[in-house]
Amino acid sequence: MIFSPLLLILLPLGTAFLIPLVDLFHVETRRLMVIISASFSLFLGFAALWSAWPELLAGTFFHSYHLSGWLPPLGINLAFDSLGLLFSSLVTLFSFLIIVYSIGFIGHHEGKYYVLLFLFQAGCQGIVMTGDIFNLYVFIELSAITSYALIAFERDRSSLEATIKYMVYGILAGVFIFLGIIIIYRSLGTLNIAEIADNFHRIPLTLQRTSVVFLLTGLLIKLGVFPFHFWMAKVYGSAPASISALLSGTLAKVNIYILLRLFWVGTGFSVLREAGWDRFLLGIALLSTILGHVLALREREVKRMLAFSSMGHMGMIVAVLSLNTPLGLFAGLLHAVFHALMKTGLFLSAGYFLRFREGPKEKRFTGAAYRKLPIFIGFIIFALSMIGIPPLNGFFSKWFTMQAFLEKDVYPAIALIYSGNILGLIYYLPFVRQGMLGKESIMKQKSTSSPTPGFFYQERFVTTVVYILILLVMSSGLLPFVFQEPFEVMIAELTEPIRYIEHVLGGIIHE
Amino acid sequence: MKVFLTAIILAFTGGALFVNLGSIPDSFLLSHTASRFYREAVVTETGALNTVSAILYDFRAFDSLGESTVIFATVSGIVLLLSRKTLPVSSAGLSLIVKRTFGILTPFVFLLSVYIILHGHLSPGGGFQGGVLLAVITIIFCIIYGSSFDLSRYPPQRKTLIETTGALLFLGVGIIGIALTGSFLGNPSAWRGVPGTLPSAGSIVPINLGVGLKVGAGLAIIFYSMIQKTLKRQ
Amino acid sequence: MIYSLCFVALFMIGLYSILAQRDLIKMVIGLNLVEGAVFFWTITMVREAGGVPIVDLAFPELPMVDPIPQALTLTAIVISASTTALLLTIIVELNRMARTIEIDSLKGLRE
Repeated sequence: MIFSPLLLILLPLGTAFLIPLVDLFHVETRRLMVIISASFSLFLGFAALWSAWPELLAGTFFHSYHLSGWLPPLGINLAFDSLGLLFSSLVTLFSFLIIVYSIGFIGHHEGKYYVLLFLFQAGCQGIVMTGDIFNLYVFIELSAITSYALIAFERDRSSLEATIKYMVYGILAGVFIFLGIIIIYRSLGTLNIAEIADNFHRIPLTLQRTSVVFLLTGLLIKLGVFPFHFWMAKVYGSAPASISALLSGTLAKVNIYILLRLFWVGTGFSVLREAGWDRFLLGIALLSTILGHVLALREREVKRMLAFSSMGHMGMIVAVLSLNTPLGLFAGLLHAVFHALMKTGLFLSAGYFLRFREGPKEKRFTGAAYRKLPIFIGFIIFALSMIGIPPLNGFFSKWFTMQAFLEKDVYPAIALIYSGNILGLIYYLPFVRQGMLGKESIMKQKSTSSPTPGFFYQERFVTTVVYILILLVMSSGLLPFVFQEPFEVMIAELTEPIRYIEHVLGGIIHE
Repeated sequence: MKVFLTAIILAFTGGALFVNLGSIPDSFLLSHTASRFYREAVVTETGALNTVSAILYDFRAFDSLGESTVIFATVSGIVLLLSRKTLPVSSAGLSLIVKRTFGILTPFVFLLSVYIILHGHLSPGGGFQGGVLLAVITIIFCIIYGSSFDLSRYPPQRKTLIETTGALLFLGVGIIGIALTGSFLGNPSAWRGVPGTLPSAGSIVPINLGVGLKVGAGLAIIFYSMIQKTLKRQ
Repeated sequence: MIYSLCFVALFMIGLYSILAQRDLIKMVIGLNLVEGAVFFWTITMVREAGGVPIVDLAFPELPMVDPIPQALTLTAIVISASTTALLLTIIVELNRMARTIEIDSLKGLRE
């Protein structure tokens, strides 16, 4: 790679620190800075991916950085492997899209909003890069705190209630993760993920399981898998659409990354398997799949419906990952990427109609097709992709998911996914129908954002982002096999954690 | 009944947790741990005497960067939530006796906080602890003298300025570390000085200062944003 | 041993007050109890005896306790204080709008 991965964390962090300072002197400069910095971090993300691509295909991609100059077991290190690169690219892409979207969606007067967005980006990048488990906790909390503040952005009663609900769950999840980390530290005496991976089997069995229980509970709360799904609909429904998209598109995927990093590399999957917890995980994930799709049926508000659908899909990803077969991991990663694209698109296009319309939340979607047809068609495309219609990307990830379940003879799962697709069709259709209704009312209603000519016309930012996402969904549906080779490398990293250990520790510390 | 059931379940879980924690090994399972290295080499490697400070601002300085970013995020979030409101100020303070007494005391509070921040590498304390004391000054201003006094002497813009300065100082020391030692937040050996004296321990002192400014101003902003709500009813 | 017992007791009391209390402030207290219990356990679970983790230049060979848990706890305390401040701010704002902090009378928190 041509530059240090650290820059991907420091750039958003430095921008976030600078924004309040610039705000004090000149607000116009800050607007420019937000755009420049977001584009520059997108450029860095692309440059990282571009320069790492040959190494990625060759399976040799690994970058570590020793912060403060201390070698891994002594100090904090960044361990940037190909799995990290995938999720880091996702974070960079979606942060950029959301920042551009927010310029049109939220407006420019809220400097702190962009501070929090950049801090969120820095936190997520930190999560995917760090090689130290306590540093991971710090960055988890950083991204969590910024998301709390962003969810409460609307400052109305409903969003404040949603934030309280989310925060109580989030703080508990944080404490559980911290406790799990401390139990590991107290037994082994190290916080380095590679060293933990190397020595986890030496911890007494009961302690292994205690720490895994705490870490897993914390992560499942954050993922919103079945017993802990209560916060999801409320939060996704009350947050601004851009933040809902960020939560389900980016934060949820970063949580999937943490799951993979901790339980496939950190503790080794055998801990889960020997205790029989992979079956348990599969069970609750499948339960949350079907529950999410069923609960989405009765929702009349588009963002709450999307939240439950998101719960269903996250459950599916966790379920297929917990099979721990190469095909299962492949399907899980592919669906994580594709789901991020589709769900972000759905939230953003729905958010467009909710933002530029007036009236009660349930009514705002009525007549959407007449408000802006291309965005509405985009919404339909994302929904079709979600259901799994062949030329779109959702079909491929679901195809591989089914194959992975078939391979392990988990037939109920296949039935659940099929019924999920049909239920998806049932719960998306009313919204499409609602969007086509009420032509007369929309003609009478004036557009709420006064169209000022010129490039900086707010709406244009929003529509551009949605068009980009439509393009990404369509093109990734046409070329799903681009992902094949790099994903195989990542799967090899996950199934053989010894490579990660050797990369980080250089094969020197084997006591 | 439901409450009773919850209590029973929690009691059982707690019992299980207690039994499991009983199998914690007496010493670490690894023999060459970071903890041992820190204890043996803290003075020679960093020049600091306070090992906790050395860990926070040298060995694991990146954690502290993340942690002070968390405070920064909280401050931004709270300001975001409580903004959009006009600021009611109150000039009603406490009685003259209290004002005079704190007129004498407040400089010493400031001095103590600066002492704790600057001696973070030698004695218990450091940026966070000293910063919290620094934030006490705002609380004194608001409660004893009324928030209009705090507004005129120590306006929110200046607090923001101090907070960002602290944050940028931390980042700046990290980048100087790249220039001098080749790694972010590295502790340049040229600045290490004689252990046990005030100008020693390299980058730990400026980082302490940055964290102190940031935490002090940040907590002051949090308090100030919250008090403007409660004073409204006066 | 006694420390572990205290930790488990505090932890469970905190969880109980999160699950069973119907008042938001009491829930915050419960959250802080849970966090405090974990921090307490973190710094008391050091089995090796020793003094404070500050080198005395006159006696550099004196043993000191493991300093890492203290550093980690300090970091975690700051994080927990930040989240608590944010949570309390939101509760104050909600109270201003809804005039209540009872969970049963806040419809949005029960669904």
